[in-house]
Amino acid sequence: MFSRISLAAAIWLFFLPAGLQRLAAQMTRMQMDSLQLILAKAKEDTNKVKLLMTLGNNVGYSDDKKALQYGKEGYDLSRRINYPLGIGRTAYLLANTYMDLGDFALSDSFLNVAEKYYLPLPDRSYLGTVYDARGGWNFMQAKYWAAAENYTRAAEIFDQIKDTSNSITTHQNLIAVLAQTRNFEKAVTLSLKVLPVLEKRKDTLQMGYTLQGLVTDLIYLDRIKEAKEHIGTLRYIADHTPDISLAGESYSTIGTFYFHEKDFRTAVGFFKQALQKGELLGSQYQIANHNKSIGSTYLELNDLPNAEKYLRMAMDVARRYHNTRAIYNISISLSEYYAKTGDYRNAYKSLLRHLTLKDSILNVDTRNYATYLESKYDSEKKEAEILRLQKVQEQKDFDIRRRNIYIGIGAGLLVFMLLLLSLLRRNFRNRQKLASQQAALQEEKIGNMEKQQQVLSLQSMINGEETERTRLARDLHDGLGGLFSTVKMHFSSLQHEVPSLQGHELYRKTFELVDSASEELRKIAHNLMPEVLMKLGLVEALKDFCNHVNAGRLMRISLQTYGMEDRLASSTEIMLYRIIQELVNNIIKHASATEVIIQLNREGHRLSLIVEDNGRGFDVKEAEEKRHMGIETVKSRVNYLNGRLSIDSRKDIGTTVMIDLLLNEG
Amino acid sequence: MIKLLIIDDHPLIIDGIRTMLKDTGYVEIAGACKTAREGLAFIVDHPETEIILLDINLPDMDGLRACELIRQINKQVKIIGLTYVNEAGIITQLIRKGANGYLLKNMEREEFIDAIDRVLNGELYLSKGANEKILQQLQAFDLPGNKVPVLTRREVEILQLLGKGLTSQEIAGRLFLSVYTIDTHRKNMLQKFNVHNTQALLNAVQELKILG
Repeated sequence: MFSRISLAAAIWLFFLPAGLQRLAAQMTRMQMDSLQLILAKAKEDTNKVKLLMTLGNNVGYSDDKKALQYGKEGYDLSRRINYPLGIGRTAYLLANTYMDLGDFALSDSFLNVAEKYYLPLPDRSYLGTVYDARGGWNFMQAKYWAAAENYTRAAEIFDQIKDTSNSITTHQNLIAVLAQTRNFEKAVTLSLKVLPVLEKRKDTLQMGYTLQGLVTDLIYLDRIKEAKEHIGTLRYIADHTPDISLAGESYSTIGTFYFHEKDFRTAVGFFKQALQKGELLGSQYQIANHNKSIGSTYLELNDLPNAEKYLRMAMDVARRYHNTRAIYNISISLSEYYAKTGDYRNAYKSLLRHLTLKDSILNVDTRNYATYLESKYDSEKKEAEILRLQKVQEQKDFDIRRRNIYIGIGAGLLVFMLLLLSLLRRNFRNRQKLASQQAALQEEKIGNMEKQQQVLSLQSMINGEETERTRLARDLHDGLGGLFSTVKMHFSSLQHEVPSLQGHELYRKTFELVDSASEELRKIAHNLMPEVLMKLGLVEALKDFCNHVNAGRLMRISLQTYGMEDRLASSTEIMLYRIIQELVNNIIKHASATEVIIQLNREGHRLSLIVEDNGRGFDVKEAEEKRHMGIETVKSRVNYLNGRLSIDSRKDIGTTVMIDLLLNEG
Repeated sequence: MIKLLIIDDHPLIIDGIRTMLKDTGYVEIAGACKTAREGLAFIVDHPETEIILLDINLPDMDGLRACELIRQINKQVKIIGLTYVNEAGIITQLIRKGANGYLLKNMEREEFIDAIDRVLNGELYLSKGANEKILQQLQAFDLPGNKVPVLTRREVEILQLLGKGLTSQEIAGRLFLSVYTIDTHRKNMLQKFNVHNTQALLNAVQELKILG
């Protein structure tokens, strides 16, 4: 029974970070030396950062400590000269190096930094590498479901941008996770699928990793014959690959194969070769595992002193770096060792530790699995959306506050005015009561709506926002609007009945205030939801909108529509209207343009919107990095429509925004 | 006395209009309905109704549709649309559907009486602000004659490169845009000039001398 468990324990899978094209980037000693010479003379600029990164990435295959040194220097320099891409890339390098060295907290921090700087980049492959690295991080911490999730995210990004080589790496990592979560069958199937692709690409390094994983999985599945077929090739890879990590893991896999064949002498030899490579690399993770494998094999050989020596070394390293999974594996072997030496007390203690850890690992796994399942389907979309919606929500809160102020002023004014009226005409008293009740009701209504709005689910938030706006606009029109109108009607009749009032200063002032309050309310309602948009559709609403802007004489907007005779779904119309509104408002605020063209083309299901100005232009990247409010709102709305947004802007020439989408309607 | 019908679901509006009409001496409120359906029933029952104030936001029907229906059953009655919004598109539509006038709800007594008098005289009455809006819109969008499509800056650039015989791919490379974007621009232009291929597009542009 023990031998079966220790075999399982001897199996662990490698991971490798995507984005580091190890073999391709591998440099000769001479090249490295000449780069170091250049480095010594380099100026403090982005080129030096790039140089440091090249050096760091290259020594990373053989010397983590040295890589750390280059990484730190590059990171500090990037910060000093404020070079965002450099900060992201050096942070990524540092995160991977710290991970190798077993410092998971620091690694996590740098991964966060890298993610922060990579998020705004248009080139999504950077972000993919971070998720991939995070998957590795989770993997080493035995959080396999979280690892699977991150690897899947990375794979999705790489697939999306058709980055095959990184996509393959990530898939391989996914294979490793599958194996670790005991989905060996699936892992084997996936490996057999990936291998021919790699062969075609002549990617010997990746082939090595895949083969190594495949053999390990086959051994575990007891498909020894199939495993044996690959041992020769794997041996060749282990002897010849310049990638130390791959070499170590391959030797370890071969050792496991012989262990399974009960050829323990041969197995020890390969495990020792693996350990040598692990020590060369300085990977605490590998050192713990290989020591453990050697110890377990000595146990089988009944060489107890050697077994103890290696198992203790393994345990030391595993403890030092809080490698739970390794501790769990090593303690069962130690228990076996103590049992063989007759030290039953310690045997029991080790067994107990093993069982306790088993529970906690299982718990963690179950928990991770539950979270993973929960979030698998919608979390990716949600997260991106949350950031944007937070911005939108902030703006909305601000709008609501402003609206409340207006309504407050309106309601206050109403009360004041009705008081005045009651002095002039007794029968206005009853109406005053009614009016303030209505106003209070209105405020309560709006209050309720706000509350409702807060609990609206994320998915329907944008749509909900528009529904609420429509309702709010309608309520303002029908409720407060009607009230204001009536007050004005009475007021003007009063003036007709009592002509002397016309010269009354207070009367005139009040009248004017009512007038402007009513006008203000009309504007608010219009901004919330233009009546014409609801009743007559997008094109009419846009004509009205353009007219309004043109009347301001700041710039000239022209509207061109083609194939827009039929109305679109009302939610699509509202979204497009809001997008155009936002874009034009941005142009007014920032672009100092004199000409704007809004163009809508519809052909069947295809719809394209172009908003082009001749303003001063802006830096699209920078605006995205700063998460410029306007762009964020537009983005989330385009997302809602499943559309594609492209912004291109040139300094002092202008900006062209193109949004295209496929309509669902017939 | 001239019989007036109000169709508006806001009770206070009815009250306000009653106040404004009190002293005229020649117009009386014959009825006040809160829905379009009630209003239509009233018109059928009281063919002597001469003027209708019609809110374009009614709970049971779009006011534009209600206007159309009233026109179908009574050709003579004068209809004045009442709304809270001053949007050219809606005003134009309302007149098209057979209304004789249009008033903003926050009108004053003087304007209201004036509107009623004019409409009864057979004139068309539009509220002060509405006139200006409609003219602007007519000028900007609805007048025929300006039928030559206007090209955007991007479209001009792409046309010029298409004219030199470059493919979408090459243009994308030169303008640092995706091929997809270039294709969308090209499709848009084909639609604008009502042609089906790039050569026809180039010919059309040359004929219209748009690129000079």
